[in-house]
Amino acid sequence: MTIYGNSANEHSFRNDITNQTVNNPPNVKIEIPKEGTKLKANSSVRYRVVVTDKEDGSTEFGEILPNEVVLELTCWPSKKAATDYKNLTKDIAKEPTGLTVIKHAGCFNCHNDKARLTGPSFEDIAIRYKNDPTAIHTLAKNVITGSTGIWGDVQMPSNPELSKIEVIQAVEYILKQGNNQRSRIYNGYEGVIWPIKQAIDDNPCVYVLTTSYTDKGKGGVSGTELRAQHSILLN
Amino acid sequence: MDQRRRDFIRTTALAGTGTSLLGSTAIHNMAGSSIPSTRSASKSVIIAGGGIGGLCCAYELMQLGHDVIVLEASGRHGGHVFTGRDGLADDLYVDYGAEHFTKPGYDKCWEYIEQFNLTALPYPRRVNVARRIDGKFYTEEMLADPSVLKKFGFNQREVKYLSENPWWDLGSLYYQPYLDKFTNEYQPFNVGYDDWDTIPMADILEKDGASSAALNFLGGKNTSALFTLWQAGILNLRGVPLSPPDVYRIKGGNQGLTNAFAKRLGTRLKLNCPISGIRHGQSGVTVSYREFGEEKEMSADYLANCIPLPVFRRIAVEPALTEDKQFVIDNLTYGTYARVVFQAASEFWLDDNLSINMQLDHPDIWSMWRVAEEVDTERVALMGTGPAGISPQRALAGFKEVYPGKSLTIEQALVKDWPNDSFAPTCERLAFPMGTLTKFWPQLMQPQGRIHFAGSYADNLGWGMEAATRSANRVAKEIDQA
Repeated sequence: MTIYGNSANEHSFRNDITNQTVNNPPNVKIEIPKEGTKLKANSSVRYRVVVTDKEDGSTEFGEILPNEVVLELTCWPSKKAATDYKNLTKDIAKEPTGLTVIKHAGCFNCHNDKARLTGPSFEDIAIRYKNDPTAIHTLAKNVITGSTGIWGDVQMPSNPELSKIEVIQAVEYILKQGNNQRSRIYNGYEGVIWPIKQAIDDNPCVYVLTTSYTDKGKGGVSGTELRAQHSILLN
Repeated sequence: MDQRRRDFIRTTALAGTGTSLLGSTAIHNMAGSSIPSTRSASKSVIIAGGGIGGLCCAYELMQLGHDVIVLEASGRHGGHVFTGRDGLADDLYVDYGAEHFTKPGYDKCWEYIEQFNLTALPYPRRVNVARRIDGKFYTEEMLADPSVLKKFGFNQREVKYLSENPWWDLGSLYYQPYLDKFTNEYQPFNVGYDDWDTIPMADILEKDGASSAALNFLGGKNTSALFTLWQAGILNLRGVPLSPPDVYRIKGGNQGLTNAFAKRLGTRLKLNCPISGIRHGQSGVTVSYREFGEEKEMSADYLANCIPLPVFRRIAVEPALTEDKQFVIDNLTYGTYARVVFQAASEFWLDDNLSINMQLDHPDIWSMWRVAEEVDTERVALMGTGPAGISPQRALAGFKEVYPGKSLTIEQALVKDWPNDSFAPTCERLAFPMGTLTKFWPQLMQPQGRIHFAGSYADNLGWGMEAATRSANRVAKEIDQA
């Protein structure tokens, strides 16, 4: 279900952003998998998310970029717990600021939540810095100035365009998410999800798959963004 | 519809009678009974991915008489072999991805260059290299001078070696004594170093007396010692130096090679057809993909996956691959970079009496060299490599900061940021960390039922275009003989 039931997309997406007087909420939908689909051990399941936003455009026409769409898969020991989580999170108006920074800075190009890409996963980072009280500042510095040799010989590029506050928020999100064994973040509007290893021991195990999109706001003005999300239960 | 295409569909229809293979147009249109796959029979093969590996694999299978269809997700073929002209003046061009091939080395590539009558031009980007070390540029002569080498902290043995051998060959001093044990380039194990997969190469170097300067230069703190020595052993068996100085490129851009494959494949190559799902069974493979925005399915006897693993991970495979294979798919890591391109009004470095082949040791731009010098213009195209996500302006600022002359005439900077590429975000695979060769290597090239794996990562030595074409030939042979 979507928070905002906007289906009025008969108008052109190509509004003149600078003269925008209203911001219409986006529409997001998990097209596949269907509610109740079973996640089998060691098998992936396809997902596809469709986002339309009167001002920003749509995923169908590539106006909304893959990295702007995020999914979260969480696992719960009962249907009740899963439903409670789904209901609890359905009205969240804003995504974590750290996640917004991560999406826009292109971090997902090299880092995933629990899977290794060119760079370490959020989980790898959270494990390595678990007992380091200065982790947030060390990591923030590495993000801004770049680093090499910590995870291998690949260079982490510098990100001098990000403010220290933004980077700290991103790092806090990375450490928290990396530590959360019952949650997986995926990005991109098409791909596959995998059962959560930890969850395989849970019997029963019920998943909540949530996708969300935060639009660019009224004329791109900060603070006017609107968010919509869609959640389904999987088994 | 030409005859070959019709044959392909018929074959897929016949192959598609297995219960798990449903719903493709071909299957709806045709009814058939099962066909035995014999050595001599023509097989239908879907090639997933139209990079150099996929194109080469399809071409080889076609030459062997099989029916092939290549499904490429993007609107162009070639993948990382990507020659760019857009936005450059005077017909200048650059290679945004794979930039060169060497001699010796790249034997397979050379075969195709000859076969397709392409012109290979010398590409002297590895001669007269000026290297910036600790903020100062050094010529090759300076780096062979014992007094300079001593100041870096190299020990006596290293100083002697580097005064007689090129700078880039320092590794050989330490690797060479171990290499004779490697007699089969596809077999890193059972040669006496199996335990060294869990040891960092830096430890072996230290044990053998490497100075801290050498350790700093050779790295290896995060790399399996067995992996490093085996890679050097492969080059040793092929008679190829660690970093061959004789480098070449194709006149007009390296995309000439992938274009040549694509031309021969004709309509067997379908662009803008991203694959979203693969179902495989004992009798065949069915692929879900999108064409002109429409969800479609296609079935065949075999699938050759030539998609890089980080992108392949996003495709649902049913039934799941074995855990050991999935481990490789999930954990093999690739490097990814930005290609930086500068267009300059003149050969400005000559006015400064410098070489344009530079190792810059700057975080925003790592190297620089010249391409397309045969183009009839005063202007020049320069290429370099920088970190993922770098902007053209920042890369240029980095170059300006360290360039040791006064005559810069750079008019324009461009960047191809590979990690941002939807379907080819990765470059070559990275060196294997400790403990992973034992897990990766036995699985890396192994087929899973009717799915075979090619691509630059899927060979013993992961050198771009060569590994891609070598693995493509291996898979074509595997499927032909299956």
